[in-house]
Amino acid sequence: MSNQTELSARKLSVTSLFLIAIGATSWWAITILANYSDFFYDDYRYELATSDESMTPKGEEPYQYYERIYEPVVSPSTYLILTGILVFAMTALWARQITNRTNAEFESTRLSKTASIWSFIAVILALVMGVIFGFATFVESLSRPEEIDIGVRLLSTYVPILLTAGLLLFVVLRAFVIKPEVKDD
Amino acid sequence: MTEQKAKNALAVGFASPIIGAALGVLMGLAIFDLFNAFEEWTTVVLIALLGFSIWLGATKSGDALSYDNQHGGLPGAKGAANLNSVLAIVWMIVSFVTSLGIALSALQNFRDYPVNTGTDEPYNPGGFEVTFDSSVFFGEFLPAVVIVAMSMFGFVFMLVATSKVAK
Repeated sequence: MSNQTELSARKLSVTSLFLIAIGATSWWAITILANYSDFFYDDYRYELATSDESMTPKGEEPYQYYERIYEPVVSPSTYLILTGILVFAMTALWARQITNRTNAEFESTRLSKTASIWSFIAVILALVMGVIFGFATFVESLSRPEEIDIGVRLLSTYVPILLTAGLLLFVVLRAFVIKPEVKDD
Repeated sequence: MTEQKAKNALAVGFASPIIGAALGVLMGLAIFDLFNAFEEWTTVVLIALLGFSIWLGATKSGDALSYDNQHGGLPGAKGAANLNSVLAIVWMIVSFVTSLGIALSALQNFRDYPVNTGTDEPYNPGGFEVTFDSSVFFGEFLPAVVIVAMSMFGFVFMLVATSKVAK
């Protein structure tokens, strides 16, 4: 193997590893942002209530307290978490494409094998994250109040699950079925 | 690289992560015993120390492996490179999870709850304000950002270091 091709293979492998690192760091940042946004959009609101007079002991005044009421809202964190998974999945797919190209065009080295394994792990991780997110959204939606705004229900449960399913399908097909053709010069 | 230098590199490749881990644990314990506290920046220093020792081990074992691929005679070189790769993976996962935990905990501290004035007014759990607190940002949140950047990019450098090509 010439020095030139060796350098190119090395460069491509390092690029794919960096892509995975950038994807994971972006996922981290978006997850933090999603948690921060939850401060402003909470599924619970607190309303000042007065205790039942019949339950209050004789000679005592009824007391006031804040009642916790479940009132789901369309929280941006749902979509932010999905965006985080999307970003990680896209960088993982990109890294996988690069390693596939490297394996097809150059002789295999320890670094190219490492990059190939890590791009595969990253794709699998992205898929697992998507599955966990979809399942968590579904389980969370089971604790719904009797009366619920249909728009909120659609946007906070159905749409995210549909989008996640679409993302998972795209990632699986792109990573393992529709591989880009490598030029055979 | 001479054979003697390759052997030295292999020795450092095996020894560096062990020495780094021992030093890190002892330093952490000493700080905890002396100051009875474990600040976030201390975690950054410990993770950086561990990361540096693994990176040094990875670089040296990579040198030894590169020599072994070209000349042979260093059967332990591949083992050292693999050991450092595994340690790099463990270090990356632990650092990443730690940074996420520190950042999420720091976020909670940005919430400013009303102070209990001792009156009969009921406590409102939803009555908090989100304020920017520089001591929380620089003391708790920033260390998490440093750790995540260190873990992700340090990990790539470690993997690259163990995969050197013979010159």
